[in-house]
Amino acid sequence: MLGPATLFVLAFLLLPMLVVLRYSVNRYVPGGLMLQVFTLENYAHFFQDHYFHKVLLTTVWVSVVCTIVSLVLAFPLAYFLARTRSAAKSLLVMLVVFPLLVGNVVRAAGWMALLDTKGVVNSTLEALHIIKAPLNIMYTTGAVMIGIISIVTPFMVLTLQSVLEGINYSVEEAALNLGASPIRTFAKVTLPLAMPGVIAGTSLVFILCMNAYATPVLLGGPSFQMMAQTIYDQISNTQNWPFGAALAFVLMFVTVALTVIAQMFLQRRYKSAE
Amino acid sequence: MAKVQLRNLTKRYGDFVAVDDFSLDVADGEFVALLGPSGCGKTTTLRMIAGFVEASTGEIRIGERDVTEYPPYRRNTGMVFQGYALFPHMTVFENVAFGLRMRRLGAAETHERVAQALKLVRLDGHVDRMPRQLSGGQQQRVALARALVVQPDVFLLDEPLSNLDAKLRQEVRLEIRQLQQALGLTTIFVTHDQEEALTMADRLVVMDRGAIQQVGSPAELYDRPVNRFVADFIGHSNFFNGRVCGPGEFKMDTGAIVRFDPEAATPQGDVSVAVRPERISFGHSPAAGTINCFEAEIEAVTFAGPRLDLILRCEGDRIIAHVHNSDGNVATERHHVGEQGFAMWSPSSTRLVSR
Amino acid sequence: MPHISRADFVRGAAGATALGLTAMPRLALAADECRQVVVTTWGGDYDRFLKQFVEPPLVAKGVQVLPDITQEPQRMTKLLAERSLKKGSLDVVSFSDASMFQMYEDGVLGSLDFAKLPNAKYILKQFANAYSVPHIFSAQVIVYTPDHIKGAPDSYAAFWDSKYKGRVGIQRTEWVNWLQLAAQVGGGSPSNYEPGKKLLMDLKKNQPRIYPTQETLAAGIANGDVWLTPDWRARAYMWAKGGLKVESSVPKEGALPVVYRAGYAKNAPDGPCCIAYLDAMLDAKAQVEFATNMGYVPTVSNAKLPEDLERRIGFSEEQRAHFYPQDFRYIAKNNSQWLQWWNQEFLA
Repeated sequence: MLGPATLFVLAFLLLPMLVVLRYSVNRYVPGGLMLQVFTLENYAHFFQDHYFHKVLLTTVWVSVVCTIVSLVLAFPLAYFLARTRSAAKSLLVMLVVFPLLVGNVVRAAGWMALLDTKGVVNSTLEALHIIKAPLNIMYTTGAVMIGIISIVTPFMVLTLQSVLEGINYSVEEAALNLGASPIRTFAKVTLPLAMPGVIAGTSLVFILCMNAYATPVLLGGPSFQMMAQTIYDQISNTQNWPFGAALAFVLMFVTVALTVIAQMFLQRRYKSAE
Repeated sequence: MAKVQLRNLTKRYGDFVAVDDFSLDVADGEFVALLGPSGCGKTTTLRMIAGFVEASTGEIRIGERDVTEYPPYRRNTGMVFQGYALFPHMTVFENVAFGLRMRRLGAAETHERVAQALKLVRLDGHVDRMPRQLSGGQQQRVALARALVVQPDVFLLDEPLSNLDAKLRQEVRLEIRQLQQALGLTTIFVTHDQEEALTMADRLVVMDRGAIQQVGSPAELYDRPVNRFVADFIGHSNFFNGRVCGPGEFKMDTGAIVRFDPEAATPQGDVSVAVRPERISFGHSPAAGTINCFEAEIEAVTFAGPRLDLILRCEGDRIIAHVHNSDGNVATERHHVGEQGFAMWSPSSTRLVSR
Repeated sequence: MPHISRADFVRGAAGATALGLTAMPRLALAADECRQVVVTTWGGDYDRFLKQFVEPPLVAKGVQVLPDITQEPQRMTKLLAERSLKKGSLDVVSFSDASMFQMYEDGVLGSLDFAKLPNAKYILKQFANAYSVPHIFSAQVIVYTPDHIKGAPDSYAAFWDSKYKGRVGIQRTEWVNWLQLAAQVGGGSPSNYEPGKKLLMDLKKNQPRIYPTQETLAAGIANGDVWLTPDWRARAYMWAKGGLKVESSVPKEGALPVVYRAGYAKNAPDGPCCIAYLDAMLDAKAQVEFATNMGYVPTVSNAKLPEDLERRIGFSEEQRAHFYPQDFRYIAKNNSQWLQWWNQEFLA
């Protein structure tokens, strides 16, 4: 039976997707309305043009790097938050969540002020005579990664923290007591038990990265393109809905496929963690 | 197994002293219980021995090694945690084998020793179960096997019975004691349950507010408590305040004289007299030859199965006397509220304890 | 089937009409019967100034104005989606030149009877067309920083001047304007921007600075990285107003105009209101306010700007006559191809 929630999802998630799917097999007429036909030419366009392969590859590789870096950064923080009995704990959690209250665009603007040739970082380094000429940090892939990581890391921290909270600290003590070094305790006990959080966190963050728009646009160099931006250009600036829709489906398919493959790999590797 | 020596162990958290100048020698193969109310520092002491808590000052020696600065994974202690702390993602076999694998033992020897350990706790045949598929008692035994299989120098038990129901607790108590004696395990056991401590341990360490109150065998602690805390914590005691007024003579605040054994050690400073309820008898006339005999009136009577508890008003204090239900005729009608008589006990049952 | 009396039916139909459920055309109603108008337009300043300067006289007459704030692509999609309805949800629609033309070509705009617009007679002839009223305009000029550049550059050729190597600012989303501008310099025509591609590839050697947005470009100007860039004169005026030290000069090749327009949807629910609203947009006083507050020039001859403002944002009759014409059909046809070229050749 279809509950109200199912109907809601159907109406507000599935239907728009079906509409976009339909658009993706329409024909683009420059300067006019798209033609309601059934053609795979938009998908063919994607598969034949290396430029779009490059954009997709950039998107995937930036997302993978950002996901891994954010996992590495978030784990110790989440672990600390899960374990601390400090009275300041809720304050610390608030601090982690705080950046989420500021829009992505505003945060990108903040990074611009920091990373610009005359920004805080360069001015400081120059004033300290560490560098002679300003570093070009803005408008590089590195700047995009810094920006995205700063946006997604709170999600990773919160996801990991909720799972780490559920792990009884005494199992780690038991491992130490049985002769496991802290590193082996982490590898054999903490990490396997945290695996549901790692899988949830990396999936969530990877999806966020794959769909990043504002950050790559604002912090990336002129030749830097990720998929969301390319899709927006097609739809908004040239009214090429069919091709934009096809690109959106390619992005969605690749995102889902990679997420599922990664989950299966992690679950198999840590099967006993269940 | 090895002896354990703790020298002037102290743990401070800021201004709070959790463990205060704790010194104790545990002999090879001895079973020592750390006993005290919650917050007395017994668990902190145990965790300092295991290495989870760093001592502020003092020294810990296990065998010939000074392990004070060692991390927990290099101390070779075997700990059983209060909630067992089994690895939920590993089978029984993997749980027990964990410590052996950390010691990089070969597969064949690991299998053999795990099988041995599981047999010891009567859990062979459950090797492939996950911990959540086991009952509380079974989990407890896995935890024991896991700690024992690595042949630790000292066996540490942190309230291992508190998660079991009362009946099971009796059984496991006996089992642990038998295991400990059969294997000659040097064991340090933390509990807040005096009955557990009295029935299992060779020696008891009673702690309060971070400090040792008294160390001794169960009988010593029960019969010769050195202070009011121990006398009250181990079993129950009736106390009378006053002062020593001569050899073997104690003058209560009411002016009455209580006699005690002049040969027994007399503590310094302010003292009280402690008398165990089961040493007090109640009668309508002074029994012949009774030295300590005081008028008393029954204020309440409670039936407690093997005995009857009489709440008496005596020398301005309220005291308890136990009457044994030895003939099955103790029924409450034999004593009644308002009944007048005498509370009597011998000088050897009268202990002087510091206040 | 239950029996329905004739009277019941009439009552029901009347109710449906009151709720706006029927497709009865109301365009026949007189202008003073205007009750409610849905205006789809840009958010921010533009919408704010419409409320402040254009709508008060209508509101005073009891008209309810409902804004529908969208981006142009959304607005176009909405209009097109409602094209087949007898009655749509939008009345007045705002678009820039090119989009308005596309909407006209797509047949979603109602045709205007200018006789019903008292202010129509003041519309500057060069901006008049049959399907919309011009609201405000500006044109693309050379925006430069007088601190670095002595003497106003008088030609788009300045962007290729090696003196300004590394100092030309480009906004990443402005490929059409750059192609057009380059075509003007390099022998193209309003219906052939292709020669511009070669010139833009040459411009790359001059190491222009490319910015993702207008705001980041402004930041580049502020910190001295950028000395000159093409932009609307209105924006140069707003930047200067905001404290940026910039001036602007009209290129001798002829400036490219931009006109923001308004029309009404062919299936607008409220025709009389559309007419009233469009006429109010042309009101001279409202036009002067838009010029003062946004830097865009009035499109009506009876709006007179103060001399100083006129000098900073205006264009002489001669300059207006020399505006570079646009072939919207040509631009729409090639936009997709240009974007591909821009991303894959120019920005690569």
